[in-house]
Amino acid sequence: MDHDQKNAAKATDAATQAAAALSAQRQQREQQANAAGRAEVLVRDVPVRIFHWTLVVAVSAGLLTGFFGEENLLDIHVLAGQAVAVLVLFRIAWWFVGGRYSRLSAYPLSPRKALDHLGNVIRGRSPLTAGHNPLGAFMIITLIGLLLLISITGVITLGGEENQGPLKAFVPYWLGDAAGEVHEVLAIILLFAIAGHLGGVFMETVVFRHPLLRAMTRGTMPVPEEQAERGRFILRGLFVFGVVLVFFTGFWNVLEATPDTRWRPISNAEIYKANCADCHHAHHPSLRTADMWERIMQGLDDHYGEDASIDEKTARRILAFLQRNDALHFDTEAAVRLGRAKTPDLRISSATWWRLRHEQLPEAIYRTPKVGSKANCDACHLDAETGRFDDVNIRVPEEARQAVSGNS
Amino acid sequence: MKKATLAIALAGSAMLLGGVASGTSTAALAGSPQEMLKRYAEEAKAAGIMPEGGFSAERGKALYLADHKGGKPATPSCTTCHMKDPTQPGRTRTGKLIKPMALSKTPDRYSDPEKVEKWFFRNCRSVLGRECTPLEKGDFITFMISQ
Ligand code: HEC
Ligand code: HEC
Ligand code: HEC
Repeated sequence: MDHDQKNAAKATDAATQAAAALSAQRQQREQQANAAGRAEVLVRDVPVRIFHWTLVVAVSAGLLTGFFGEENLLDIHVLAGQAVAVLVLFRIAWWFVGGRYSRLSAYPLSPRKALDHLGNVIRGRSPLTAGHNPLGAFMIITLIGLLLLISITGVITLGGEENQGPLKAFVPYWLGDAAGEVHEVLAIILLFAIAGHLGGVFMETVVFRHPLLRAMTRGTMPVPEEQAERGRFILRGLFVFGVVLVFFTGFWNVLEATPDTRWRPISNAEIYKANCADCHHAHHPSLRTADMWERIMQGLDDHYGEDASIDEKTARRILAFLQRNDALHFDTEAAVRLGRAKTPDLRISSATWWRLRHEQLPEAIYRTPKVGSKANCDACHLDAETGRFDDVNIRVPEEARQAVSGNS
Repeated sequence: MKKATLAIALAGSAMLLGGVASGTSTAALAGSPQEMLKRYAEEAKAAGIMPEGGFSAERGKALYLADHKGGKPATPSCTTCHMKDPTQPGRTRTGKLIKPMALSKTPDRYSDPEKVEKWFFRNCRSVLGRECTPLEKGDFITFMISQ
């Protein structure tokens, strides 16, 4: 018994020693191979590499136009967002039909492994893996998830706030507005996530000398032959991308073409324009509520220091037109934020929200010849006549800007 | 965009053609400055304020250039919005361009009785604080025809 036990203990001892020796040997071999430039084998399929770098461009464009762009860059921002959405949808599909290491099933997604890996990193070790390491895998899920949520909230905002895009007929203004806030917060979180991602790649490439950048460009890593990716997957990638693109643009266009009751063009505006467009541009009826229009029309003989009186019959017809199309008949940002804002002097431009949106403009700009008055919304809003006040249609006249900056 | 431009171009050419065709007859149509003058002369006579020599461009000019009291403080004169030189374009207080008042520069002026009356009513009340008399209106148009 005693003897047997001793023997067994000896045997296990020997086994562990042998195992340790083996693993040390393997490590050594690996290091040697690395140093000597072990044959690089393919570990990233082609689609995932193209996806990665186009995503970098699209996300950069989205972030730059989102955080720093003037309002009239919205078109480019939306284009970037569409690109991100298509890429992310493609990537999600690729999780299930992509190459070996591109698949979600290959991700070491267990918190235990992530913690172990973190421990290793702290102790200055990070084994080279052909696929993602556990922390990297979580990072990618986070990034893709964030981008997906940002795309979704972006489309909701575009529909609700700007009356554009596939959801414009379905999302009320208030929901678009709320989604816009979430969209912004998510974008800030994304910045931190990107910083984390770059930090991780920096650690891996610079500290642990794992050639991740090469893996994401040439697709190769110095790992054992049997860990190689099973192919380049170019045709399959093209096919999956094509399917995603067709579905995306199909859905976008079909939904965008559904009749929109939140904004519509106005008809029978002739009599209004004939009478209210001589001194300033004819404000869109959705910029005041029925009762405010009534008070404006009743006070025309003393209209902001001028006599703008109109014969009673014409005045009645104009009022009917204005009330038929007033702020409660539209669900646009301008109608909700400006049209429904009660102001004591009945001016649109007295609304607090109006002043906030225009506070970056110097007061003097409204007196320049090109603008003339706050009442001339169309001096800067090319689509003022439609009542939409889209971001992309804001152009402060250059002459006006120069005249103001020259004076002060 | 393209459709709209095309439509405007078509409408524009149609109007040009129509204008050329009817160019000689427009002056004779109802609603000309002369018609307006005739109307104001009748009104002035009826009110017994028509002087011997008829309407006067001089009096019209004086009315146009003078600073008045009694109207709204922001608009003391016709030239607050129209230009002292009536062949020049004016500007509303809200910055919109007003075509020159001189008939030679804006030939379609003083022809639409409703429009003329509407603006005399408004502008006289803004500047003078009262409506203009038929005599003043006639003088004013006479002045503008001479410019
Ligand atoms: C005789 C000239 C004149 C006419 C005609 C006129 N307005 Fe005005 N309107 C003004 C002036 C002057 C202001 C004040 C603009 C300012 O202070 O910069 C103004 C301001 C306004 C505003 C407020 C704009 C703001 O700053 O938010 C509204 C609304 C408005 N007008 C409606 C009308 C309507 C409706 C009609 C037609 C029934 C009309 N106006 C016809 C001269 C005119
Ligand atoms: C001198 C130029 C100018 C005039 C005149 C002007 N705006 Fe603006 N407006 C701007 C600019 C510039 C912005 C964008 C501000 C920003 O970047 O947030 C803006 C923003 C807005 C927005 C928000 C658009 C959006 O989707 O974010 C609305 C609505 C709006 N203006 C309505 C009006 C109305 C109504 C009037 C007339 C009563 C008016 N504006 C007159 C320059 C002008
Ligand atoms: C507050 C600015 C303002 C003032 C002051 C003003 N006008 Fe005008 N006037 C206008 C505008 C705006 C129009 C219409 C624009 C147009 O016809 O091009 C107009 C048009 C007219 C017309 C109509 C012309 C036509 O085409 O039939 C007459 C007549 C006229 N004004 C006379 C006067 C007289 C007389 C005075 C001084 C007592 C005066 N105006 C002062 C702004 C003004």
